[in-house]
Amino acid sequence: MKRQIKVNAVLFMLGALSILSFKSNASDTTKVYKNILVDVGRKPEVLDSAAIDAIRTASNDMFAADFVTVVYSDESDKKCADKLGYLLLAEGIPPSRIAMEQTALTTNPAGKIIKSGQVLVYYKASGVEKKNPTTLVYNPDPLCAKDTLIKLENGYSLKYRICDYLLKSGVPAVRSIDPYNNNEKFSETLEKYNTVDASSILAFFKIEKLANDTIMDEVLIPYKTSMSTKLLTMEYFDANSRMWLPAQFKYPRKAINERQSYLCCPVSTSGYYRIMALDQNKNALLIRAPKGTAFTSASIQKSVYCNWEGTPVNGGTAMLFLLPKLTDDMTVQYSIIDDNGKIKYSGVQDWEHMVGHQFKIKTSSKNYGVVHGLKVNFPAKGYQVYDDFDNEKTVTLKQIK
Amino acid sequence: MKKRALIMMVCFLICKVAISQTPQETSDLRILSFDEWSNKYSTLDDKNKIINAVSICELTIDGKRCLDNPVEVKLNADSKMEFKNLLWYRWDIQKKRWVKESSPKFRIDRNKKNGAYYTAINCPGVYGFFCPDEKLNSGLNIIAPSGCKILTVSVAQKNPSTAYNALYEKPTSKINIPVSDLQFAGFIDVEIIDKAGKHYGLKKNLIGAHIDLRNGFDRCESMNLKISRNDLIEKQNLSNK
Repeated sequence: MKRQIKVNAVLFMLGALSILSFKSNASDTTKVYKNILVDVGRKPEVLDSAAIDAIRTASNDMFAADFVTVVYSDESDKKCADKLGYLLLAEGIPPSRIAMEQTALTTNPAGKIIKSGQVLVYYKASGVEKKNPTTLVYNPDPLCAKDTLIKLENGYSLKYRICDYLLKSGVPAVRSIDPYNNNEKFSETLEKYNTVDASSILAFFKIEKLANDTIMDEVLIPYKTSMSTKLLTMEYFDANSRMWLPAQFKYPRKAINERQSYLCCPVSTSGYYRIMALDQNKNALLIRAPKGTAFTSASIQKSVYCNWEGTPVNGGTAMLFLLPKLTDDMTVQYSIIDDNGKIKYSGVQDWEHMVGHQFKIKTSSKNYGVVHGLKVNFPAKGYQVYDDFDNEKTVTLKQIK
Repeated sequence: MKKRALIMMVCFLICKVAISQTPQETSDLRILSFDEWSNKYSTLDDKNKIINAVSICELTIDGKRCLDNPVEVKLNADSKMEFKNLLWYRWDIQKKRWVKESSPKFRIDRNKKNGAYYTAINCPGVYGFFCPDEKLNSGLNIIAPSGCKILTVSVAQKNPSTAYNALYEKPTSKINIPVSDLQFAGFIDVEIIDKAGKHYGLKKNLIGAHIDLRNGFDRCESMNLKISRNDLIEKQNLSNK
């Protein structure tokens, strides 16, 4: 009887162990995913023979998998990842099943930690693997790896990827507009849009894209390095509000292509764009709220086509603007909060009436603000709005907590 | 022999039942609003420096276990420039501080207008995207009126979003808050106790009502907030209201 109990106990233990092993297998994703880790050498565009052999040996299994994913963590390893993508294509893996991802260290399902200088190829050896189509950022057609440059009038170039437009009915078109040339054949209405001082406009162009097309392309504009001290902002004409508005966070950047310096201007939608070359010493404008109050918002308009939003500085007690030119026909609109938490709204007021009082800024050398991503020093003088609300509306601010 | 086979069958059935009864893991990732997190989690890192919150979320998992497959967290951004030096932090319950986890990767989808920062989490907890504060100010000094001591202090402000909540075991007459930027419309509350044991709070809770911010915070300088008796209101009166 005792013997029988011992045998039963052993069998029970075996059963329990089988549960544990079954469960651990179910949760261990590293056994489900197969992976090949490739070290990127000094020349990232050249693959070592060991990596090529490993891919070729596993190519049959990869062919059977739903997806083969190439993962890299550092942008500098992308060339090696691209090479691995082409090798997979050469081994007959269908392009639609090759995915390329740039991910954080431990986010890949294979559970491998990918360091800088390493590229991981993984696939699910058994079972179904689904991928969100939007994460398949890699188009393995070698043509797609290259940007295409189309040169336009006045040295402007349009840079885009061929594959982004393969299934579209047409590629975008760019037309440069010369703000100095009065004979330029653009409509009278558009001429009104261009309400700023022409000398501050570095570039003015129109891009035409397909109706629902929001692919990010770049317009390259010849740019002289002698103008590097200027601050550059990009504005677009908003067709709904019919105003020129800053294209926030879409900064032009400098690049050198074929020994020529260019400004790269990212654009994603059709419309008119202009690049303004502003000087932080001449074009920064500071407006201060009356004592005991702070701005909750402030904007400056010029005619009916230009609108500039202020950026709060010093806790909101002042607003910093970056304007092409200060002129008398500007208007100001703002709202302020007082220390009781009440918000007052001004109506649209003319410049002279609202910001007539000028004051000196003591700490101009130390203070700076960030306007549309550009670091701007405080000017030496600022304006203070009058505590005068002709069209006053008062509401009580809901307490912050 | 039959008995053994029977026992084996029983064992197999037990296995199947045990596996089928393993609770299914369900996870929920929820974005916390400013009001939700600002009074619970001070935006201080483990070096006691203020960090600016961009977005804070909470991952809850049934059974409180870590997930086998991580949950991807995404923060939409127009470009890398939008959040300079964005970092991913986890709230450490024991330290009561935010601890740096990783640097999120920015990826831009060419077929879409905007890009996003991506990171991933496995384990339950409170996490957030933060930007380090680049300014080097020595903070805000709060000085209690004579004969009074500070019990608690709480500061919360948006754009950039920061919060500081402290309860002092030993009431003190002067405290320093390591903030480097203050907003006029930010919220401040200080609980003060006098010699008679009466509790007081501030009459006005906007930062701008107590501090003149018009000259801004200068580098390496601190700002003083001297509370006078006139700024205070007795807590009992507050509760009666």
